[in-house]
Amino acid sequence: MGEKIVDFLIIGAGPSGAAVAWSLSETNASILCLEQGDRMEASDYPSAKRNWEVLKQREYHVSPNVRKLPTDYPINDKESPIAISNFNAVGGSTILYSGHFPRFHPSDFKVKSLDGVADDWPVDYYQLEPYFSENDKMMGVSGIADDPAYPPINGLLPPIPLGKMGNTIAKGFNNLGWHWWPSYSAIITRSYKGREKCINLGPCDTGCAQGAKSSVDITYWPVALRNGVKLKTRCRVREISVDNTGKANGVIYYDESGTECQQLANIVIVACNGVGTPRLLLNSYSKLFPDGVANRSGLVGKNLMLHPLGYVEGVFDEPIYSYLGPQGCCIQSQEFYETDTKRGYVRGYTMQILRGPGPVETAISGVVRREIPWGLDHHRTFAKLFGHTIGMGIIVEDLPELHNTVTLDPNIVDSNGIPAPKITYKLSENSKKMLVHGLKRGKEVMTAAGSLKNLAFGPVRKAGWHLMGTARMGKDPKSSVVNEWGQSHDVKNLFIVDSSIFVTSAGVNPVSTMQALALYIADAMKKNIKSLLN
Amino acid sequence: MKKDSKLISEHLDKEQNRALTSLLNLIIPASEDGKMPGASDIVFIDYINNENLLSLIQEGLIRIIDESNNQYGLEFSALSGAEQLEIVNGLKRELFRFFTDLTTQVVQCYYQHDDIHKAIGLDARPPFPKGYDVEEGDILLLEPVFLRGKIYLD
Repeated sequence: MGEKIVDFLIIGAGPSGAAVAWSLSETNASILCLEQGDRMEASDYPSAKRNWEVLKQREYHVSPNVRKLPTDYPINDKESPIAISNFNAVGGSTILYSGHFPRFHPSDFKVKSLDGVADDWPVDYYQLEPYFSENDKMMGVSGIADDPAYPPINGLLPPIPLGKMGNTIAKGFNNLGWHWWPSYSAIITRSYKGREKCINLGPCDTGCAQGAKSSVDITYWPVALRNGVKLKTRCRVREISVDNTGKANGVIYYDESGTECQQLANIVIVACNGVGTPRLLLNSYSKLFPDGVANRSGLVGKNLMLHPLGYVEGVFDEPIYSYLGPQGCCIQSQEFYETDTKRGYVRGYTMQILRGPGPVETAISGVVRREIPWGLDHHRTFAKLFGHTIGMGIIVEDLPELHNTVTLDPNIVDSNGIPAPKITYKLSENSKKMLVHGLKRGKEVMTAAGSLKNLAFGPVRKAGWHLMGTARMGKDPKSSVVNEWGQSHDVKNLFIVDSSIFVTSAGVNPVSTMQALALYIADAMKKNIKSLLN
Repeated sequence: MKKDSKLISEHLDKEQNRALTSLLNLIIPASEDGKMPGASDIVFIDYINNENLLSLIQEGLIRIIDESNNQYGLEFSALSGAEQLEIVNGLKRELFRFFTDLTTQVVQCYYQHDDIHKAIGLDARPPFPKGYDVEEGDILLLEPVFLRGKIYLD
């Protein structure tokens, strides 16, 4: 089955694919996006259901290996202490992300110059700054300006309410003289671009039934589609095809019925995330590219970065109603973000304050940790925990290492027979030291806020959301997969726009930076559209 | 609150049902002040819709009933609470998965129930469409953070 040739073929309708589709839709070019997932319906999200906490552990689980939806592909992550999380749909992982939306910092783009590790990016913060702002405007981002941890950020919607919980932990940070700031949240706090404001449903990480969380299916995609972009769902791309000159000429994919189809294109743009992108490139092997398309550097699938996550929890005597409010967005601290070599490691981390869990999760984690016993004490101990806890994620900067990889699994395939990705990953000594430091500091701030007791552990296994580095950008074709414009060094009409092109991982959630980078690349494509399409 | 009648299941015989009722009351008994129902007051078996889990539960109950008969010559539900706990503790290693899965399922079922939500001060409804009110918080707490000045590296 064949389709007429399109100018731009985008693979993946997640955060970066959506941003690029929208940006390119300003041109007269024909644009098609193929997405292996479905369009989501807000009314289906767990927060519209009575059993929302249980659905989070089933159909809306973060791991494709647990969900096992027809739109999922298996991921072999047994050789990694961190399990991979993702979601396949129009909107991609923004459907299940918490909306925590900090930017990378200026220092994150030059870690080699500052700290002598990894590499500098071929772009810097200030080149991306206008694209950060444009992206914030498209997505709808709340927060407060004048954060001492960042260059000026303007145009934010009012911040997410701190709640009694936020007040409590903020006082803890103040008692220690440490930085904190209301979270940059991709959640709208007043009506914005036809969407209604946040009403504090709570479980943003299972999809927002209100439509207040800025997932790209309700931000970028409606505009891109109005502008003429075509979007086909349930289309799983098997490989990028090349002609006998080594130029990409389209893709081979399976439609919903499992029929093999071909789509021809002048330019192919890959936006499948840090695991899906190397999987696709490695599976696109041919005589000209025996190790996978765009992989003459041998770096496709290497340098996987995952952000090892530490978890700290404090239990407080007074009820702080911590189960109320957007789950992942309250406040963040970047007191330990920049390098201080006295700490025994380089780079740093963000402390992301998390709201407390609902009753089911409180009870189950209490039982699993042996804090809530069988018998009459069940009620007493549950009451002491529910609404009395504050969580904290420690997001440590993960530096690139060649031995952390995404490869094609020799034994496991998806429902279309495409090899599954296999993750091989271990924490570096630097990450371990940073994690230990963060867990200790996390407990300190909980205590300073008045907690009765704390727990801390890491790395958290089911926390591999941030998938980066597996097709890195750079100026040298020997040490990078794409150039500073996201263009493959080997295949000039093949672009990559997702977080696989990140050179380093920073110590914050990556979506804001991923989208700014995608808009930056799309802008360059538009400026050079004539030569690209010729 | 009615008990046994709600637990009758075609998958379990009467003795197994009685044993399950006793077990549920061991896991989450009614609170002494009467504000919190026990787990056996909540429809539980109807909640289990996974055949593998049902058969796991049935196998575990059979083993508990056997042990009760072996040790005391009585069915499990006829034992005192202390005796029941002794049986359970003796089988915890052997029936590790049974007890883990049963406890998880009981807790999930219990804390989704309307009666329990009301008892712990929540509305018995999904979060959407009403949402919840959250107090804004005190943004003035940011003053010392702001006054400290820039901390990022250019």
